[in-house]
Amino acid sequence: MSKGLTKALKLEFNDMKERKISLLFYLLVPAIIIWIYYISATMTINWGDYASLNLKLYDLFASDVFSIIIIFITTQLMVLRIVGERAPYGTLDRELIAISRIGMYFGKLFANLIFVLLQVIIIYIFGFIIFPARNYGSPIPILLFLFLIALFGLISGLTISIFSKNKEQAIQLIPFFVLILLLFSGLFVPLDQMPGNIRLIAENMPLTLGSQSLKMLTLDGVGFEDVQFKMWKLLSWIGVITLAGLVKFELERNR
Amino acid sequence: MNKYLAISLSLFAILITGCAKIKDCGTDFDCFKVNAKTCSRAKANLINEDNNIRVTIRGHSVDYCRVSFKIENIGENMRNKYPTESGIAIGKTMNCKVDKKYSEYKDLDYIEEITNLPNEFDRSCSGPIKDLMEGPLKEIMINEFKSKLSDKNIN
Repeated sequence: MSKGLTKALKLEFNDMKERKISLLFYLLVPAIIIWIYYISATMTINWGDYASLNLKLYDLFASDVFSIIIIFITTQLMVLRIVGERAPYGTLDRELIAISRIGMYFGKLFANLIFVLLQVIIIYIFGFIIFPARNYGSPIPILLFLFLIALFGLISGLTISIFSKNKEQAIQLIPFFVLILLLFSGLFVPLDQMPGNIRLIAENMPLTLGSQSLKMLTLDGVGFEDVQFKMWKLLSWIGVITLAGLVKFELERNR
Repeated sequence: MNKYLAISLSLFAILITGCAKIKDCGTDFDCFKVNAKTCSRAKANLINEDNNIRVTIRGHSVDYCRVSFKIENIGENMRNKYPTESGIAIGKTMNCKVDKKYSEYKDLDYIEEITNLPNEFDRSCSGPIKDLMEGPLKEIMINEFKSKLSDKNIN
């Protein structure tokens, strides 16, 4: 696929082994947040499109909360993967002698993707089985969307890492990035109450595409065919951000 | 390693395209019936007086055929009659299981079973529409659903 991908994967796996406590924390935190949300959001909903379904607040916003947890964790997971390894303290330049930049990018991405897959399964188990949010949908499309949101988070984190000049800048960018997605997600202001143009933007933001699809799958019980257009839009976001990160990373070679 | 990555990506692509592949019969109910005979994945829209119900056959699963219903639109009359319920019901679905034993008889198809589903709600169906029908909406919806599905489109 690209020079040194296997080597880059091994390097990243070794790095992940060294960070095992931090990764364990990333795995446990979603379960704790879901539990806290489950015990606190017990109020029954009797308004809006989901009135009469006897939903709890937990059921209504589960897809939003799970999506936000995933975005936060995956972007955080990746945000230092490049900038943290740059010179003068990191080993990135030395590693790039034997590994192509594309290989390095995908090596880091694929290694963390395996961890994220595990995390998505944990979120599904805690969110829909142990602390069950109302779910009329089948597990495969739900897992697929959780995974796509995670993939978007990973790629965004990696791209922010590539664009950042130093660690501080990268860490500063994460809350801004996630907060913007959050404000457009429809969680604070319902999408149908937003002004026309803003609504159009909000509806096509990646977090909104992911969380709204999850809501349709779980609460409306729709099939995959009803959310596949949103999935393609989300995949387009993933493609564009991947390309932006890769181009910037490749351009650095010529500096 | 690259081989494994290629396989993973291919599986991912197959999963996405496989999930999405449902024959769209539009409003052609004959096309839908042909697919219903074998419980093949297909969907059709049953439109009557602006009421639009989409019926989707999702294929076999273990020992039953999975059929789902989605309320795509509710006509003006119904909306005026039941404004709150209509607002809540649009976009919601109901997923039902039709017993596979009927597919063993060549002369029978699932259509008959699908039209009988309103009588089998408690046993065979689940989903937000079913939950909405737990209340006083039950009689209204069952009658509307049954008459539109059987009288207009099937016979």
